[in-house]
Amino acid sequence: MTAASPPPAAATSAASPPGAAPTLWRDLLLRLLPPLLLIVAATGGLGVYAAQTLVERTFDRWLIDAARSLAHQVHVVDGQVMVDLGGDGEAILAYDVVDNTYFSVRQGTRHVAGHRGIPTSGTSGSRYDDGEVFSAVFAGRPVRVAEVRIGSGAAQAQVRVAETLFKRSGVRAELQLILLPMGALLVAAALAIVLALRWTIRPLETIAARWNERSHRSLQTIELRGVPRELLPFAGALNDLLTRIHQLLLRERRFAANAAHQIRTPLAGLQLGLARAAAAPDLASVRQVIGELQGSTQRTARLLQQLMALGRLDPEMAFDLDRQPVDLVALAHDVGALYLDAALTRQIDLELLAPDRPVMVMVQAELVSEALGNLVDNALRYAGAGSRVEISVGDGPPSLQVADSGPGLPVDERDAVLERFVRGRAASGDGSGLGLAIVREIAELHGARLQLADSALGGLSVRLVFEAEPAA
Amino acid sequence: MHLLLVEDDPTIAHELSLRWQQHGWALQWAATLAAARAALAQPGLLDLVVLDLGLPDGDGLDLLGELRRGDARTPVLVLTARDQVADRVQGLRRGADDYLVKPFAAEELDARVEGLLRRTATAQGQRLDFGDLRWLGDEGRACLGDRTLELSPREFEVLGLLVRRAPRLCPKRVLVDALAERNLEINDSAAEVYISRLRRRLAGGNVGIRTVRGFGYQLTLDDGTAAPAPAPDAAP
Repeated sequence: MTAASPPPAAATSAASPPGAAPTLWRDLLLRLLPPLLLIVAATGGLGVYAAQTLVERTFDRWLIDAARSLAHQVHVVDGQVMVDLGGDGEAILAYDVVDNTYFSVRQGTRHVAGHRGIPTSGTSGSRYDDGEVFSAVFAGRPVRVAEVRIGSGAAQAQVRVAETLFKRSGVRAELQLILLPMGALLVAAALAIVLALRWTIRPLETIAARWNERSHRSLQTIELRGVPRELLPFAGALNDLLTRIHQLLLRERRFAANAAHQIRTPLAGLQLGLARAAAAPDLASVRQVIGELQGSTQRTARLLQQLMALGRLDPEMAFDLDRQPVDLVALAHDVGALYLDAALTRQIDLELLAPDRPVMVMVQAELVSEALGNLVDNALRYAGAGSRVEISVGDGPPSLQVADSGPGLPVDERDAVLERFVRGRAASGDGSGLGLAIVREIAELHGARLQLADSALGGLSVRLVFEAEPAA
Repeated sequence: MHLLLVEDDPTIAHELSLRWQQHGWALQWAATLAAARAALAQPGLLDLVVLDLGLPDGDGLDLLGELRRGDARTPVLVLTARDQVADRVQGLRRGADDYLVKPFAAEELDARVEGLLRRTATAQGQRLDFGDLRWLGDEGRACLGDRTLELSPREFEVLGLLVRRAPRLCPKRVLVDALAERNLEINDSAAEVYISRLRRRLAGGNVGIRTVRGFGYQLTLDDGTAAPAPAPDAAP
């Protein structure tokens, strides 16, 4: 039982000091040792008590037997009690190396034979079927007295035999020696428990030590050999976690390296342009260079945006994707509208073909918007002036498609362009090679299919097919 | 022209105020949402609000919401570093008239600001030219070359919406909403009817109306293309 409520000062002063944290070791000891102690103590105590009672009864019986032997020598003649002890009867009765034995025979208040003054009553009385025994004091010593009655009425005789308690005390002391081995047993059992606990807990401590060692230095998993079966799920889960964190870190590192590389390239271009501007002979050429560089900053900004979009996409997201019912028609309209100006600038017809009714899917709207935005942006970039780009929303199964009348993409390149930083061989201009990678990763997160095909308009069509909503 | 710039970055504010002074525009700068609220509470007509979203004392989208509840007219251009497609959709949905992501080409920003200012100006009943077309808001009539077009009030209204946004696209939704606001009962297919009537009225000039399927309508010059927008790389 723990204390009901610790003093508030102690509770607030330290949230969880290391010493106060519950340990398996201490809990197990507390739960095993006191019961053990209790059981051994109770067994020992009860055993000794039972043995002593038995001994007392046996001695009492002997005493009664002695009294009865004496009673055999008592005769009643004409209402008078007579004792015929003979010469050595008294000696036999009184003979004892250790204890002194006394006896008396009385008729009512009349003393017939033996020692006078043996008490007629006392404490701790026990009644047996042929007499009773009680404790009293005689001749200055504690004695046990057995009393047997013979005859009845006025002729009744009381035969009493009293005996000192030396033998009994001796036996009682010897009986108490039984407790010694029991104590030894207790110590041995406690020791066994402590050792068993130590050995059981040691693997735990070993594992904890292994983890401590690892987590401080690296994210490597720990050796599972020697781990008790009960701990395997726990240890396995921790190892999985370590692996995932490790992979996440690797991914981040790779991403940062990639991003740094990708950003450096346009920066180098900018630097070259600036150098050219610095060396330009007149203001007009400086202005021209600066005009060119503006396009370069825009491309870098776009690259950064796409890198960030990729960075936000994380395989771990698949576990807690915030799916909401989303109308693909409204989504396609809103996203498409963002690109109308860009289409106008590039002299491309951007159109939306959608059914009149909503097409509902369970997706994370922000991510699907990002995917569609990248598809439209790609089409506008690669289709070329005067071409057409068509966004269409399909029903059964729900899908988003962006088709263009541009140059298209050879079949053998269609898998490769889904990888990061890969662009089609014929691609011109300023793409980063990230757009389709973003779309692919968003599709994977949603369990959607991404299909690249020839479009009816003559160019490339990219289709995102979502899982059909179960009819509500 | 009076512009309110809500932007916490002093460099951008400085550059833009210098730049827009040359255009003859008066720029008021608010670095926080609180300052912007104070400026908006002042009487006097603002022609345009340029709004950053990530501000030290809150989200610019909240200010946009407050503004739109009280005043649906003043155009708002959102100028922000939030670059996700969904951010842009969200900004426009919350009532922004345009959305530009940082970094941006200065010319691109100018062009968009001019476009928005023109829309406000014509909404206040001024005059506007596109090709041979001359739209006279104050007189309630439109001319093609020398000839005055015979237009019903509804057709005039629709043409006004198109010319205000030209050469950019006028979303079908805007058209339907604006006409509904004037108690003109109109639905999608009725909008189509007005457009085709307008096409017939404009015949003979160098101005046409293009249907952008799924999105809306757009005034075009006779060579079949809309007047080119100025920025070389105008990705939104």
